[in-house]
Amino acid sequence: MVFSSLIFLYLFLPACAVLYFAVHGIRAKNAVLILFSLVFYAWGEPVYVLLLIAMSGVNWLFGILLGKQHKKWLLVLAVVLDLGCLAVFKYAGFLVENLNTLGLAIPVPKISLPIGISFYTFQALSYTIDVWRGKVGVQRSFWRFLLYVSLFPQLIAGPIVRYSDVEPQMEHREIDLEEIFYGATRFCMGLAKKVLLADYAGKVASQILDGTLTASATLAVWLGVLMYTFEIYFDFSGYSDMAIGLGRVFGFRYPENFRLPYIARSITDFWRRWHISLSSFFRDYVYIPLGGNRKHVYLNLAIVWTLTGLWHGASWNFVLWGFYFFVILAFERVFRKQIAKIPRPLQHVLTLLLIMLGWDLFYFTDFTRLAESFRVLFGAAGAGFVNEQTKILLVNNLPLLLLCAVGCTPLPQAIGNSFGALCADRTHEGKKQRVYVLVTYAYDLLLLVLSTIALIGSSYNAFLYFRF
Amino acid sequence: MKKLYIALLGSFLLLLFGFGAASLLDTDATVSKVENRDLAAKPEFTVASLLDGTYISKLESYYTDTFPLREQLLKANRAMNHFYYYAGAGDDNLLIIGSTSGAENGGESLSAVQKAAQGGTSAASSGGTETAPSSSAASSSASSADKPAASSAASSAAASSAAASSAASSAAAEPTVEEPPLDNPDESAATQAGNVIVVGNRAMEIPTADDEIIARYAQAVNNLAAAMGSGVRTISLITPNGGEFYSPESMHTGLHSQKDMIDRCYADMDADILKVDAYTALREHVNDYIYFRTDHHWTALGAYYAYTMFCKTAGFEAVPLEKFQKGTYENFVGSMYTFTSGYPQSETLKENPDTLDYYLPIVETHAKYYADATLTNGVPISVVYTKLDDSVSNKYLCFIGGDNPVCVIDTAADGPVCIVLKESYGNAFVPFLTSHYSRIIVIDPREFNRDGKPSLDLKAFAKEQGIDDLIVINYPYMINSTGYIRWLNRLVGMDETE
Repeated sequence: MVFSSLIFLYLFLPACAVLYFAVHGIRAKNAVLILFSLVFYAWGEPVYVLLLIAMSGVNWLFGILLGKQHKKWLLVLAVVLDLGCLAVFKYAGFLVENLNTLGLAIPVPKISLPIGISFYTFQALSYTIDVWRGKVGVQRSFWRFLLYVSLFPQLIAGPIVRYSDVEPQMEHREIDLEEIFYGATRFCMGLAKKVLLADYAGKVASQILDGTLTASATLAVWLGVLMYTFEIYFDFSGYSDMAIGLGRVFGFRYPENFRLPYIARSITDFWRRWHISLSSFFRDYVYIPLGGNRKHVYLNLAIVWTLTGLWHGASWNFVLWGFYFFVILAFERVFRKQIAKIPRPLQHVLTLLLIMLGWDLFYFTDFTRLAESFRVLFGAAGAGFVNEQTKILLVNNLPLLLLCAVGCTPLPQAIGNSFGALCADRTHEGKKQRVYVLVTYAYDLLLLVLSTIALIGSSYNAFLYFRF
Repeated sequence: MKKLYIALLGSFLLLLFGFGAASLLDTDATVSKVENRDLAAKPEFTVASLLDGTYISKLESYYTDTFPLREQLLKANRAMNHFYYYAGAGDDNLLIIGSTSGAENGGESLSAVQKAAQGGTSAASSGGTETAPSSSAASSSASSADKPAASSAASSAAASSAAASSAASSAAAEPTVEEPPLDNPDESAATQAGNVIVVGNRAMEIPTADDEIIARYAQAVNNLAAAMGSGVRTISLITPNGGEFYSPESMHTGLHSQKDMIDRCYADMDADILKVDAYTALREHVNDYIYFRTDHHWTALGAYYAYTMFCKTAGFEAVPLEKFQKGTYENFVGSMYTFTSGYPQSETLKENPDTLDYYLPIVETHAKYYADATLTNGVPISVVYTKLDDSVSNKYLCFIGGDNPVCVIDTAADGPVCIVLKESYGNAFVPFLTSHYSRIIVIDPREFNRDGKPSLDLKAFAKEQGIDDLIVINYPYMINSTGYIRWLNRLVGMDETE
């Protein structure tokens, strides 16, 4: 199931919330969450829900074993099992296809990718490694461990929550109305980002980038890449917002996953702001164990970024995408001083351009089309710089473009914060605070209603006596 | 503060819960008027469909389709689209959308609308001669659901036209004319369709050339010609659509130049195939009303100019336009309006409807449509319907009743026999052929040799019918369509995909 669906919003979520707050005691509340989480997962993966449970069981068991015996081979075995599972379900087809190009003729296994496997494998893995490192205690209850892995707010698209983030909350959570209110607001904002911005931007992106690229003008393809740049940010960060918000509603505090990545001044800066839970995972569990900044740093970087690329998908363009960032990050490291002399606005512009080109690499899994897109982007192919189609596209999408652009800046947050500060005054029995809460509430409702309208609109399916 | 939070959060939850409960309890609509389609039905539960995921995905579309207040929310969505699909300042009314989205927008959900389109169609002058459409053709409004009534009326029409083949004759209910289903989704995806644009009060399709597919279309026509053998002339007519003449320049040049597509396609065809230069005739009359603004077809006038070129190529003498008796349907709002109806730009199309003129055959005609090529159980139809009532929004259906699998027109003309392979562009063209052929067999290739459709071996069929000419008429979307090419090839057992 996904958050941005009517069934989730109007059946699953209210049912879960009502039951959750109706039952007493942490055990019962945890049981409600586990039940709903498994239904949530089984909704999209009726078979692979067993894999999720099995993966949880294996890591839970290794946690206990590692707690009893601090043996390295146990850890290695657990890691091999986790990554092996990921390899089979995510990379087997890719691996075999590539072996076959080398002259082998192995039948390509047809394994469909279980939703969210990259996320929950990493969560389980981080727990087992942290138990080995003594950073977290052993979770003896299988149910609580299953709750950690399967909890539906973060199950299928992150953030990658570490066990250490939520360890105390497994056994003790307060019901704090202010937190719940914040959570609901955060959820509505995330929903709006996904449904009102990302989905519409995505339509424009695929309209342009899935068409005949050589028939498109240079500016149109740039517009397509820009729209994809917006889509992927609002989609992913919107999903993280919804996860964080839902977590708060049920008393969990998840780490922030995005901090306005498109205002970054360098790619190094960008990766501190983009999908933070993933980059910090690779930092703590791969980069630093490899030696980090202390020895063969560039080799370490190359390994981390190849893996980061591969994590995003089993296709060579993702590897290329990861390698692209390795090259830029290495360059930024070598020329740190020279780069610092570039005027700041130019630093922002250059960074954004590099990010957009990165998303172009990310978009096209087909290398022929990827190369075609680059040729059109740089004017070596296509229908000139701009044509009528492009002008109409720009007119049609002008309001959306402006809204997305503003949405990437600190402005919305600044407005919210200063309005909050205005209302923070607790004199007069908190009257101003009430205003703040009421206005926020109206805003939440508005976003929910608009998102619902857009979700219904996306099912609009006008009959066509059209093609023929 | 605590009370306030509880009140607000409680009411929020209640809102979600209330809608959720309503969505489970309300009675579900089955047809969407706004969209002209059947809504998704509740899927049947089976363990297999649960395990392979189809049950859940169908359940989701059923839930979304039957959500409370759906039609109102859709209207709100259209209002919201003023923001997402900004039409430009002043009278610009600009829109560009991908027409591949057309396929995803509804290739599978047709039947109800088709029925609605025929619902309450009225009598037509079957066996129309030079006389005016019969006044005796009372506008009977047989409902489409009312099939027995329709067919009995039709058979009485058949009887009467057989008995009295004199002047304008019988009142007949239009037979159940089924428009064809759209391309299968996978086939549409394989087709680089292009764009649909709205500029002012005109909507147009902008095809994009794919040379490889165009060459395959030419090869398909070569295959047809080869199968027909030397005794049969094969005549190809590829017509541009309105986008070629009325779109901004960059949309009919380069990869969007339909003239180039047609030229390249003709160049790839065998030398003995006759190629009709419809383009030049249409170009000359670009200031006339040769294409609709709200529909993707040409007008009968446009088809007439293509027909004059056809006559030149095929060695007939074209009938002057003045010789035809002309009739008119006002307020025709066509397919392009429907296609763009989710966007605010469509309002201008609706406010500026088209006028549809038709020209009646000058010879006596008897036409029947058949569900397959066995030519049994024919139902009489009109070559041109003159009395479609207002409930038929798609007035273009007046030409041979829309797309039928097979339609046979016997005429009083003393001439050869032909088969016409066509999509709906051919419908407005066929009536003009009645002056030259004694028998015209119109075949829609999309209706054969596919899932659930009858089979047809065109080679044997043509031999059996003793045809002289094979006419293949299409517009640029078809010559760029892998699906359509496949169906052409399958007619003569040449499907390269198998």
